[in-house]
Amino acid sequence: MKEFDEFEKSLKDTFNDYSAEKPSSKLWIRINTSLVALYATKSSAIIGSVIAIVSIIALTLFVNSNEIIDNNLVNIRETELIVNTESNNTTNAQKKQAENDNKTKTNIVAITKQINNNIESEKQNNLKKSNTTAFNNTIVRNEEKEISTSVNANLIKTTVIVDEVLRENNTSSVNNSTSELVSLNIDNRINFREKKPVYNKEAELISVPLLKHDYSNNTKVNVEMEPIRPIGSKRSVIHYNYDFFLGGQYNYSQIKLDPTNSYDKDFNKNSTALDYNFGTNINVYKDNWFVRLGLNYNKYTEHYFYNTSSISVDSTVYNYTFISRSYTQIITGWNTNVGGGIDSIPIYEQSVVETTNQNSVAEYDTARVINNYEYKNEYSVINIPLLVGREFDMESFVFDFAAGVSWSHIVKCNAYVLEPENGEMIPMNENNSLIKKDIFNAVLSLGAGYKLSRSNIIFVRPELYYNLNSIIDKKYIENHKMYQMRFSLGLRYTIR
Amino acid sequence: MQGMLTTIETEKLLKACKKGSYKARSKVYKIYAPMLLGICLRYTKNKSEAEDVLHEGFIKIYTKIDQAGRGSFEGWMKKIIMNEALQFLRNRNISFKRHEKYELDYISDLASTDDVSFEGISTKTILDFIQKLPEGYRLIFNLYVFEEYSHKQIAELLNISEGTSKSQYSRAKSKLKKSINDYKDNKLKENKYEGI
Repeated sequence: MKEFDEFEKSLKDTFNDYSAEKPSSKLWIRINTSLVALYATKSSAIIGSVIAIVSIIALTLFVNSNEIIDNNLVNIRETELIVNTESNNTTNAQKKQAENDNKTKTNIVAITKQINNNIESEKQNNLKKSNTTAFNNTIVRNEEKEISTSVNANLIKTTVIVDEVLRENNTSSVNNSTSELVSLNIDNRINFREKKPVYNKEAELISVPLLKHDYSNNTKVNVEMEPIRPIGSKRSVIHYNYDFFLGGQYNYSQIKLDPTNSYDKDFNKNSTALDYNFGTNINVYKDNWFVRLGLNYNKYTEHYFYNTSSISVDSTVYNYTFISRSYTQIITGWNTNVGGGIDSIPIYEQSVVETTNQNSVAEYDTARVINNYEYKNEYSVINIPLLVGREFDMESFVFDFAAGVSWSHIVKCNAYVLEPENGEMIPMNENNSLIKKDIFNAVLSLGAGYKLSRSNIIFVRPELYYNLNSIIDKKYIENHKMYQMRFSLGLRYTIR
Repeated sequence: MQGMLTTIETEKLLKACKKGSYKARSKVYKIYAPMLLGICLRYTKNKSEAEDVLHEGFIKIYTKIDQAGRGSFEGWMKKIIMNEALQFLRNRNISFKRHEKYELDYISDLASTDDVSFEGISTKTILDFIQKLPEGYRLIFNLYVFEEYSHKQIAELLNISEGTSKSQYSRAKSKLKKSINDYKDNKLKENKYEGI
């Protein structure tokens, strides 16, 4: 064990648990970038994934940093507070008037105080947490759930007046004010979900004071309320979420040969197959509009039939000779007393004329040869879709539609292409110049989701990928396009 | 810093890091980066250099995270950062001989070896004085005092003689003491003037 003198000991103690100030914010990004670069060298497949992850991180940081410096939000909160104070003054005055008039204008002060306290605490939260936009978003999204209160009173019937005050942005003028009478039973819960506050896009709802009035005996009623949340601004807010999905797809491929190609008729020009895909998206929202940037992998196969036919003929020629013989007989005299008899026998003179003719005949033996080919092309594709869409909320369901483009990169292929000159199949691979590695698609997407919790949504998403360019060089196939009908099931996680 | 996490939490965090969790890596960075930066600052002359060392150190920590866990995770990280700092200084080809020459110019500093107290001086100020030491002095001083290396070990590590290590350490210590005393004297004078 080393022995240190006093100076050294003091120095060691001083630095024992010393923590410097935080490193600069860029350092973490630098570290991540270096790590990405390090891992990316391992394989090209990883490169794509990691770049996407870094993009997502960068986008996340970008969105976060935008949120942190969003001073407007705090300003709005402050304005809300001021206006609420005004509202408080007004209700105080109302209360005094009510007391003077011996009417039961009840505990407006208490209620508005609660609202103010609540706003105060919200504001503090706002300042404490840097996640201000998420906070604001929480309020906007949950207004229907949160703006409710319970009224406990010792009366059978009570009546509640619901006031809604709307104010123009950044002005103190009250734009709209509505009141509504609501009858309650004891411990009845007023749910503003059923009574949606009046909104207009330019205004903020600044407070929801409740006045309780007992008309039965005209007396003051003590009302205990749960905290009422102020409604957040209707101002545009950027927020984002991630989703992860896995699904099947129906592939439809189409091949178009040059019409003059003699193989045109023999080629099966359509293919259908079933495959799979999986991936992830980041969705950045502003109001109900969103931009979706994703990364997904899909397997794409196609199945083709192709036949060639040829006819072979074997012929045999037979030669033969026709011989014609003509006979001519002429009676040249008679033989009499032949054998002592009286009969006579004619004497003939005979000549023969012989002619020959050469002839030939052919026999044919015909054979038709048909070759049937069946082949399967397989592609591994990474897609990066960029879509713009809109989302709608309906109770616990969320619907969206989106359209955009996707860039697809063929990372691996095991495929063949028809060589039109002689009808042979030529193998292709990812290093072959025959195939274009990068293709583009138009994408249409629909989605339907169910809210499992505030942050999680399970969804189904049918999508159509419409291939915009042929993947094979034109000199081999005039056109070769691939279409996909996807049906994915996934989970969406919202960052708050 | 370790106090912020229990042993079980540290083990969980380490396990998640080994699985490649981005969240866990981020948490490790958030918890330990200020403490590790403190170490880097002792070895380097400014924050920019310290962050360079910290950058390289964290890359090594994350890529070699599978090797962590046999002992204290914090200790393991400190060791990596120290090695990175050493490597950083080696890459700059510190010439100890040159410093020996340099030392001769400041030989009078050796006289100021009285013990000094750190009362009224912030850690940040002392760190500034350490950073102002010549690189060779600073390195040997760090290795001897904070890493508790012996002069023999330092000599082997830096490929210098044991005598050089001793003399450089002695001079570093004297220089540091002098800086602290000067600072305190100046402070005293300022207070006197303010009193007048």
